[in-house]
Amino acid sequence: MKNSKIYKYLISIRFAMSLLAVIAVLCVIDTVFHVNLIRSPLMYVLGTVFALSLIVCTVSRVQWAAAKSKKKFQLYAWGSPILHVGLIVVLLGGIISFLVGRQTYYEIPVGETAQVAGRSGTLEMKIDDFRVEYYEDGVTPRQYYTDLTLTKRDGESASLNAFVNGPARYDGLTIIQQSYGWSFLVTLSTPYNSRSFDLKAEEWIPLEDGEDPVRLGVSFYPDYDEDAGVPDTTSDRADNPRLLWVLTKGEEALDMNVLKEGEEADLYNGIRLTFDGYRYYTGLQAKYDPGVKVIFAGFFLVFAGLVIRYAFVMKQEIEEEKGKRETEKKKGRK
Amino acid sequence: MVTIVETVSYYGFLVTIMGAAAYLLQTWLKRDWLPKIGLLLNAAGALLMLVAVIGRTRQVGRLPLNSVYEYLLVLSFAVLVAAFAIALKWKPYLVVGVMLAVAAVLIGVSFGKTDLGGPLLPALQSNWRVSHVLTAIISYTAFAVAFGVGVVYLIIIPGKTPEEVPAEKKERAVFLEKLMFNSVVVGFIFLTLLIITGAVWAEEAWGSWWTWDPKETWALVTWIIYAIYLHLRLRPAWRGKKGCYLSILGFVAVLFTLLGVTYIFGGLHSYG
Repeated sequence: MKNSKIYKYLISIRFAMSLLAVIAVLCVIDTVFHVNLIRSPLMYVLGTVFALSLIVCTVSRVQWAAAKSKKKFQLYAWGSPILHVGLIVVLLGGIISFLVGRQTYYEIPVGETAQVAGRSGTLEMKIDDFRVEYYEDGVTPRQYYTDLTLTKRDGESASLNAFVNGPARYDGLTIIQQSYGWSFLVTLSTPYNSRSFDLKAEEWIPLEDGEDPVRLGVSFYPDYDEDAGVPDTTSDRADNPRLLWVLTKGEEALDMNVLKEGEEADLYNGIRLTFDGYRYYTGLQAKYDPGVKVIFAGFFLVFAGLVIRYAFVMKQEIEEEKGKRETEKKKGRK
Repeated sequence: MVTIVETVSYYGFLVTIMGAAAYLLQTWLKRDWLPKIGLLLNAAGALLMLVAVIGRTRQVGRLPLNSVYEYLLVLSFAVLVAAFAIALKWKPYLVVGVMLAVAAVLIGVSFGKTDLGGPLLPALQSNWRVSHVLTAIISYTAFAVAFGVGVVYLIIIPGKTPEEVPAEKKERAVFLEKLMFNSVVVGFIFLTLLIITGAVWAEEAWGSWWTWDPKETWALVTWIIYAIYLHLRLRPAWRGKKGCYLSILGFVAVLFTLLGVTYIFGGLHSYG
């Protein structure tokens, strides 16, 4: 094996560095010319060959360090092997993430629940509250908070808080605050029946069957600007919440108006629209990824190895310089 | 409206250019008083940029480590301090002249990147921010030193490899090579830490430690260039000029990561 041509390539520093150079050039081309090279098969092939070369080189470095430490343990000799083992650990972590890691994005209105998969199985995630904290100007957001409760199958539960840069952690899950918005509730009713809708942003609901039905458009304005000529919101805060409804047929707008919370509007043919209420929804990323810890452990090894490797070089140089100065001093005395 | 910070950094810019000229002219004119003037202007430039950094801190009510503008102020200050220390200790005036020219370019670029320094966005409110940006300052300052050395080595040292260097230039070549190597080592250690702190922070803030965001990709490209330098330096053939080219290429990647990526590609790091 050791005499094979492939092994000789894999263990050669020049080969490994050439591979790295090609990978770097592909990264540059990818970002500068917007060609998707980073996730191309070519990159996967290069990455795999590089990983093999890294493993072979690391084994040889470990053997070298072990030989150096045979008589007496030599810490400096282990810097480079530790660094390279760290890189392999990072790659391993990446493989674990790829194989078992999972990530799901949820948009859940306050008070509602969703099912998330944790280490122990499926958990129920209930959104207790969502808040936006503003700076003194009242406009610039300072922080977004979600209060949530996670309940395991066996009934064990935890009340947690997630904010930007402060994820909630439970049962191997990391829950990250990523987005938010307004969700609003409307009811459409006729004398015979009624139907409720829980909506986000602008929605269009056909009120008739057929090719060109009368459609109802509804959208929510948390801080409705009464003075603007067109529907607009002054801020993102619910200071003047209004539901805007529009009735259209084809390109033609038949009717439109705004409603306060709890108000009703007669649309047509006995169909009534009620604006039942509004609430925040929170956008959360729930991530279960045991690979991340492995990757971070790899980072630690890379950094530790690097420091050991070069602290020694520096120490050696400082000592050499000291020695030189002392010799010069002695010469001077003579 | 021009702020006091901009006015002070404008004077810092002028003084730094004059300092660079004094250091560089010394090489050709060989006047004893020139390096002294250079040192004085270098110190004045560093002081003025320190005043600008403190002024900015007072203006925004936090450490100025948020936007590209703030980063350029702190980085140019750090490069000036490093240049001053190196000039005092080893007197490689040509190298510090190049470093001052780099600092002047950084300050000059900052004039086009000024911002009002609004409050911190939620995404930036993290303890990782300070360590992430500080590691970038140390790393990029060290790479600026290596760049200065690389440029000077190419200009003043004849011969492709160390063996071909004439005897009278040998000592100089060895010194420059050592300074470049040590700077790259410091820069590389902090670049690694920069990437690690960024990854840990990204995992917390975005739920993904690596997203191939252009800034991340370019930080990796920079890391690869210097990793290649550190590996190939073990071979005699790569000592001397070849290593200088890599050091210069590495710093080009640093500048592109810092400025090019932010203003050309956007992405998650476009806070500037």
